[in-house]
Amino acid sequence: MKIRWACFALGLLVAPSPRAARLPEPAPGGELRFCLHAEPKNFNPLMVSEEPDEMIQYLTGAVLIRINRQTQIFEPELAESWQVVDGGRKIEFTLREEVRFSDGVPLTPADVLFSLRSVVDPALHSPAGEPFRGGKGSITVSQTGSHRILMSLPSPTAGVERLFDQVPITSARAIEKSERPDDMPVLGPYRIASYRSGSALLLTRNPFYWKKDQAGRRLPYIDSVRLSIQQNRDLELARFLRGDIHLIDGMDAESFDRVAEKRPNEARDAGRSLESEQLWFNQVARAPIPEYRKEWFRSRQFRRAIAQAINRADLARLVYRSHAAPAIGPVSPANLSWFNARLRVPTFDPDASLMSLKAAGFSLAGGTLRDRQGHAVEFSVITNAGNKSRERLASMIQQDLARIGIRLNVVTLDFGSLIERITRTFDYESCLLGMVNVDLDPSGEMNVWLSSASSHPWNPAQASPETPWEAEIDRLMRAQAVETAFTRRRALFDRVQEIIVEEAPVLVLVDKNSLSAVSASLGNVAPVVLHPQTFWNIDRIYFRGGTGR
Amino acid sequence: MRARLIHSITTVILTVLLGGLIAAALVRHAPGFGVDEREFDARYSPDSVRRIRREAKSSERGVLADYWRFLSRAVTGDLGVSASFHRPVAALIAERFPATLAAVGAGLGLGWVLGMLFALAAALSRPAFDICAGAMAAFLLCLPSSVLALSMGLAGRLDGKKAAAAVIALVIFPRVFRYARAILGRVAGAPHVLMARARGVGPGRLVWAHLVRPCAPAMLALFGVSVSVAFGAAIPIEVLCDSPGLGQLAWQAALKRDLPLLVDITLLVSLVAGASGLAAEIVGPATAPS
Amino acid sequence: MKYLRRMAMALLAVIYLAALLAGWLAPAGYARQFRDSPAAKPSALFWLGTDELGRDSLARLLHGSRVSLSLAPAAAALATVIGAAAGISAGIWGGWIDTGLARVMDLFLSVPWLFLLLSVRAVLPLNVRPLESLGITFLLLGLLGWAGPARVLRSAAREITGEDFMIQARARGCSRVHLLTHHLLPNLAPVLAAQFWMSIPIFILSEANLGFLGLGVSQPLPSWGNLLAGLQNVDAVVSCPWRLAPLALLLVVMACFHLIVPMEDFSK
Repeated sequence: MKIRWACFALGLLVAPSPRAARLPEPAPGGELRFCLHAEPKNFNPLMVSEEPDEMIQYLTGAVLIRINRQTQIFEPELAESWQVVDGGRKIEFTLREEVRFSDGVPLTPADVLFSLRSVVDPALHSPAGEPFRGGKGSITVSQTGSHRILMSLPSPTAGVERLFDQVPITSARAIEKSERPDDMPVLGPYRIASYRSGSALLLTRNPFYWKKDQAGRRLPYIDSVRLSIQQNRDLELARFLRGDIHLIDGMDAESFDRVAEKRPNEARDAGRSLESEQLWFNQVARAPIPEYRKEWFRSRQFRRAIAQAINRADLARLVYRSHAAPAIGPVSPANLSWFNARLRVPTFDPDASLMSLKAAGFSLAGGTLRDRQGHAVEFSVITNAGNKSRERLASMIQQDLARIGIRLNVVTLDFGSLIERITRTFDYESCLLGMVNVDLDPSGEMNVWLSSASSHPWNPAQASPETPWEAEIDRLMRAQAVETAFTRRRALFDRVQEIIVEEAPVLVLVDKNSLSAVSASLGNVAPVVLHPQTFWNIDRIYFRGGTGR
Repeated sequence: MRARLIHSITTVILTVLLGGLIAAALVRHAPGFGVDEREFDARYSPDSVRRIRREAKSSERGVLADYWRFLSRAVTGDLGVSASFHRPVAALIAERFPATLAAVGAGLGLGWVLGMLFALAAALSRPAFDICAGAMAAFLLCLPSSVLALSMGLAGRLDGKKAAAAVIALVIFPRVFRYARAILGRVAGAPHVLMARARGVGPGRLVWAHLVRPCAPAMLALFGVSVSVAFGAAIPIEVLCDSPGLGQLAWQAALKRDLPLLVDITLLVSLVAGASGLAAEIVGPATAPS
Repeated sequence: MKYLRRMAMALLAVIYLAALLAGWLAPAGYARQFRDSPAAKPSALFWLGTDELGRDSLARLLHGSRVSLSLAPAAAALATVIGAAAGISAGIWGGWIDTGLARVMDLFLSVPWLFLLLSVRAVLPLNVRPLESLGITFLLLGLLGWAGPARVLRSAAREITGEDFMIQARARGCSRVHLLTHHLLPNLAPVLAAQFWMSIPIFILSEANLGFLGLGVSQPLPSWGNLLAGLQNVDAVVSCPWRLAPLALLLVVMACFHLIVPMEDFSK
């Protein structure tokens, strides 16, 4: 008996622990395949602005500080550590040593200086430098030690670290070769091996990539990544179901359900994302629309009544097949740090909506709502053509508003015409578009919430705030941008969210879920809500079995 | 003859140039021209948006001035820079044209071969075959090219280019079949054909000398039209089949109001259509039996 | 063949009638959303089921057919009239008029008019009704689609002008107007009719293709274009074959139009 117990105890000691036995051994090798949805336009990392270019930049480039897409926390990358001083006016980086470009040349502080100076250079107009160019005064970048770089900003910047997630670190040598992408030295896990316009881009592993896994093996695990240029999302889905590609990011609900039906373990719903569908009314004074309609859109009661008349639950259930949720406010709950949890989903109550409208001087007669002057309440909503979900949303909103006697005309336009109307001519009445919170930090949305901003949806580029509540939002946004204490910033931005909900200049309808498809042959893929949703940890993704299918 | 040829070539060139001017005018005055999507990108500050607008405006002149400037540069081989792809248009077209040429060429070839073979067979064989072939052609004529394109693409067995070629063939085949069948039907009933049959002329010589050759001028005229049809159909077909050809490029250029690219593609397509029509006009009479 | 032609005309008439009686055959209407029954199977209440928003598919099919079947013949008539004017003028007058018109026809066949359609949609007034915007689309298609018929009619007019009876009539001193009204038009009538009938399916398919590319009619009005766009979800179509009803109806209607035009008229 004692011997048996001794053997048992010995067995427990030498046997691998259950936890260790469950962890798969990542095997290197294989070619990962997925799609770009448009032709890449620019391989110069300093000038990247469009989605396909950003994807390639993420796979081939490197930054000083990276926001972990899963935890939404800053992590050191090329900067081993950093320190924010002087209330956010200065940030000092300690660079990682022994980092090399894909051609074997070491990364030097001069390269980092070059990258940072280029990004903030106003003459270059680098999109990555936009967030730095908000304040008056100059930005200086200097070397303060053998591997230390100091950046000084003209004014305190709250959450300054987040800006560096989009700042590519490169070299002058690499920029010179950006016209020949397959020759360009990079710092990321992959380098461009070949590019055929209209067809595909092949990335192969960077042999000098600096990251290693816990076992000391050099990353990435996967040998190569093939990005096919595929604009048609239906064809992309067909290819995934055939096994031609391994990942699909940002799927629509219908496609997601098709994958879920055929391969339930490959359809991944990561929950609420940072993307929402929004409807706003044109409040531009000089808009070439009838004055009586402008009066409606400027009326808080009118806007809130419309908000109440729209059945958000139905929108989420029918258009997005329950892969969305009624939006609560301008910030999605997926934004863990900044969502105002005190806000509640606007109630759907057509009767209350009608009562509010009557109190505001509208009257319902013969099934048609009329204003005080007798004008039938009828207006149009513009949205972009070719987006089935948005067209269905518009159709459902049309029905909801018909219940309270409002006639809504849906107008679908190609994107260029739509942008012209909402940014230049203001020849529109209301607009239905999707919005993405690319930057978690509210300072990244200054160009949306400030009344003087060009992307301020309902009334852009105001010389001075035209309403008291917009003036209040301006004050709050500017205050939070320089406030370093998180709790105080949070309180300021919470109030901004409350004002948006109270005044309803923009009706946030639904928060879409982050839907993706991931082949079962892949390991360590954990879809998240931030982009890139599926391959944010590309260097640690592997094929089960090492070769891929 | 030479004078007539020069006259025909001149009129084709003038037509092509006029077509380019019309395309340029359409793009230039279309809503959304000169608008950059970055103007509504929240990452860009108001100053950056103003700069983007200034840059767009600085490159605008009148339509005629722009077109004249473009033609003078095109003569030296400079087809301009694409506003949406930021690359030389000549390079873009050089990359994409082979795909379209291959798809249109293969589609035309396959469509014509099938159309002529079926038409000949229908004219010379039993009525049952004639009815079946006619029904198949009618069915294909009834299907929108977009449905054909979608089914080819989603069937998945063919890549984008081959799918586009197959769809173009299916678009061309029924038109060629019906036209050829009608003409061959008329010619097959002609007295000289009946006489040739009665005299025991072999099937090969009967088909070639007495059926195909008399139809040649009409068929060549149709060929000229079918080239225009094929190129015109290529745009939506390449978009739906995701084939990386000129059609897909033209669609993207249209959506982005890319003036240099769209004008260049229009000129190219017009030139091809005009040249094929002209060739048909010249070759047609030469092939008519004396 | 005559029997088939009569059958085709009868079937077309039935379809037209059904489309006109859409309100009676499918009283639910094409816009009403039964949100508790999205993507429902065919039943006693919904003979062809419902779409993703719970709208009666039969109602949408019938109303869509009414729209497409009324506007396409109007566009075809417009294109044929303009084409006839241009083609016959070119054929009868010849010379520089013929050359000029022929080049204009070539021009119309080579310029990418899809772009014009895109632009026109973008400049339409915001509160124009969906039916009006669709009408404008078909009007444009008609105005732009004359070149094909014009070419055919030009060729036919030249052929007839060279006939012996026309030469005799000219030799007798008949005026151009007399030649046109008494000799040319009566002989061209079958070709004109053939071109008109052949153009209708072309315009129906053009609208369907536009719908596929996202340039179709606005919500909630159905048309064959946006009904066919639903076929992009192949799996849904395979599992719910009644969703092929719009395609099936389109094929039947197209087949009828093609059967109405005799085969020999395709050579003219």
